[in-house]
Amino acid sequence: MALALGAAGLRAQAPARGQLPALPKGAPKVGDMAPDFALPDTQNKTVKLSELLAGPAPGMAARKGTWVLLVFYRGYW
Amino acid sequence: MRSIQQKNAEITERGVRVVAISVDPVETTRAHIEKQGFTYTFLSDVPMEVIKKYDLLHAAGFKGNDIARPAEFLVDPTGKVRWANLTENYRVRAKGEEILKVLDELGVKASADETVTVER
Repeated sequence: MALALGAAGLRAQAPARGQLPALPKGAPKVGDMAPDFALPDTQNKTVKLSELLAGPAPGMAARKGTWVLLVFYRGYW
Repeated sequence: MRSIQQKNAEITERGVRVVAISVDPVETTRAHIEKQGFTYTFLSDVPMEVIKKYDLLHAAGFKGNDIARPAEFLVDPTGKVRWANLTENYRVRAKGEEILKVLDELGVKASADETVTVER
């Protein structure tokens, strides 16, 4: 019985699969300005966030300015 | 990533560019996205400068290596964050469908719909 309880206790403490550390405090929040950056794309061309935002929207030449969906992912593909 | 690819045409139609960022080197990413058929923009942040700037470092997150924790941000043309999605479990991520719903809520529409009045 003690052994079974012990095992259950361990299970309860084990993190769920995929569990991440506590949410970061410094990540941009709604209403904040997204920090600008420049990084290489898969053609080794430098892409700058502020330039993307200022440029024409893909498939919508008439609209000034582009929205950007930033997707951070874990990688190690 | 795949569910966003599946909705990428619909997302792009609304004037939104999808930009993915990870620690993977340029060559690794290029090979992978070609194989997977991903067509949006992938950027490489090997030094983790941007990942740290956005406070998304997951120390030793993959086999002892530092990586980014998954997160999505929708940025408007002025550079302001209009929607942010951080997860406490990397198996729970924003899907393409959810992104479209958020764009609906923010009134980010395809050009053909721009004359439609949004009731609030």
